[in-house]
Amino acid sequence: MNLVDQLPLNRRAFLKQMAIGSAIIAAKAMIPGIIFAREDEFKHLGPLDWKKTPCRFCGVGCGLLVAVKDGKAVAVKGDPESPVNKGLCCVKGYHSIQTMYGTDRIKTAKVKRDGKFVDVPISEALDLVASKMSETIKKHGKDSVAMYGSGQ
Amino acid sequence: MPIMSYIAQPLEGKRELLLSELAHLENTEVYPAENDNTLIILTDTKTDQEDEVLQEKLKNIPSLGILNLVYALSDETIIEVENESC
Repeated sequence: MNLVDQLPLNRRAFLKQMAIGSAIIAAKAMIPGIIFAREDEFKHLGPLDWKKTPCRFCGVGCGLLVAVKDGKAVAVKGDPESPVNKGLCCVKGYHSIQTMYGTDRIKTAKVKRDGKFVDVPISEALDLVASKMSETIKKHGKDSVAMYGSGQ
Repeated sequence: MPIMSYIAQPLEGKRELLLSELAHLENTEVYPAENDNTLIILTDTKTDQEDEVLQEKLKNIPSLGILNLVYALSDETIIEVENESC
């Protein structure tokens, strides 16, 4: 059964949703950034445990609330208490948990051995990078290494 | 069968009191904003008379500072349509 089938949809429920939606639109026009995150939007997911976390997609540092059910992240909303994003997210933030469960998610790293790239656990690759950086710093000083990263 | 929605705001520092007072009103649903004092009130009554009584109750809530009507639907033909189709 899909979500639409689970909704108690009839003429009266539809008109009530229109009334709520109209008021939300009017409020958003008057007060930019105002958020109405209705709990019943997530009711179909059952009891949820909302965890605070920073968004990892870029360097802005937005605050997220991630709903966890049976050990799996199932919903995301902006943290209204975050001074950075004040309860809002960009499209990447709202969809951030999908990357955790993608079938094509990268789960291993590649390390070159005997001239060929081979798959190794990411932890093993990170240990290798750390040891190479330590070795370079010992030989040439701390200014000999640099790091670049981006969530974009 | 009137359906109304309002934008409301409490008097300063009275948000929680307003929410608790609204919780006691029948035929009323409340949707508070997460990051602002503003809240949306939805009322769903069976007759115009019931709606008028409820509106008076809303207006007389002491902790209510602002009440703006946004959406009002009170069409008796809806009753006929609903009775026929549902």
